[in-house]
Amino acid sequence: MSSRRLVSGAALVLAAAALVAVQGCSADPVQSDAISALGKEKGSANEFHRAGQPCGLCHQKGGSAPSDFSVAGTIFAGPNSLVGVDGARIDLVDANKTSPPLATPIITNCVGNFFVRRSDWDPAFPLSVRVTKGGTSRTMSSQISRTSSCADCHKAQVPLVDPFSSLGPIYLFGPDGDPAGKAKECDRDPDVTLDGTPLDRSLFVPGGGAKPWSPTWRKP
Amino acid sequence: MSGAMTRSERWRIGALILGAWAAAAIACASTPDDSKDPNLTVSPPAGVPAGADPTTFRTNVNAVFERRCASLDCHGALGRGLRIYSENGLRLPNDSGLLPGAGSTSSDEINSNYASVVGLQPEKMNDFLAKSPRTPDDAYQLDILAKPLGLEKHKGGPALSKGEPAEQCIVTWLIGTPLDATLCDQGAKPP
Repeated sequence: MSSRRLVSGAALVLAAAALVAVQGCSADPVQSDAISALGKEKGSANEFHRAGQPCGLCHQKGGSAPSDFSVAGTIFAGPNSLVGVDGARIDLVDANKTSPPLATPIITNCVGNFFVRRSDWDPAFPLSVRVTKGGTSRTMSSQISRTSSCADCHKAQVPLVDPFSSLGPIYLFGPDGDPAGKAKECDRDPDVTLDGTPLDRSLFVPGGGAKPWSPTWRKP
Repeated sequence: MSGAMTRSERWRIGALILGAWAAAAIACASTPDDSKDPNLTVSPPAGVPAGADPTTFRTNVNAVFERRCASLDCHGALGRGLRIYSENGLRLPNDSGLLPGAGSTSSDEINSNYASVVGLQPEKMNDFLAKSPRTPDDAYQLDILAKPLGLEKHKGGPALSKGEPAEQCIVTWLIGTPLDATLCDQGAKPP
């Protein structure tokens, strides 16, 4: 074997080893496990996908999604009826009293999803938040201290798996959902899943599936 | 019939003895301590004025920690070393219907918060409380203040600033000087 061939072979091996090392070191097992637990993408990844899931897991700097969100989440109609609220306005104020630019108001789409691109607004935590549609408005009683994903604390679960350490979905209206009687029809599949298991589809039918809330978790 | 035991009989008897011993060991093991009240107080040596007083914590200081540290995405999360229960965040498992956003913070939760705060750095806290007199600079050496003030790395970023009511409330409580309840009340309000 010529010395030139030996050197180029060694260089190839070194490059391969470096690639493996970089790949191995850049993967965050906690993050990748959390993403895997959400289940596979069913359709195309667009602004209507994965309603109620923690957006920031992928939509962060260096994340698997191309866009980086500073705040993102889903607004549902009621606590027991996971129907997305279309056209709700999200008002946010950060620790420096700044808000997302007026030119790009934060409005939910028809599955209830909303997001703020970090390139539009990179807030200083903690944040105060309010959701408004028509004459109905709800202000979060505590603050968002550091997470970009509403779903880190607000779980799209009915009933909640652990009611002592998490909150239910963010909802705008009362237990019966939209007072207009019917959520705006949305031709998109919100693809809400919990730990890879699709939720009971009746929960997404406007006016249907209003199951009584009953915690199932108990102190061991 | 021979009086000597066969090998399989000896094995069987051995297994029975071992099983009985294991059952006895399990039965005699102490039950886990399920107490919610850690019954924890930190006491300075004799002759040294009290600091980090539990009664003052329950009355005035706990509300500051609840407001400033205890959201579900920060120290109201089960995975945090400094775990703070609060009425709008993490709840101690209970049968009283207390849930995030429903029901005031219980005395069990406040006791747990106290244990969490004074137990964050037990040795350093003991050393701090043994000092006389204690100064704010001594208090700033404790992570409970150094982290939110940004003197030590804090994943949640700066959560307090020197001189603001919440910080003054915590410092005076720690060093044991007379506490201005108004400062604590202000510190427990939304920033």
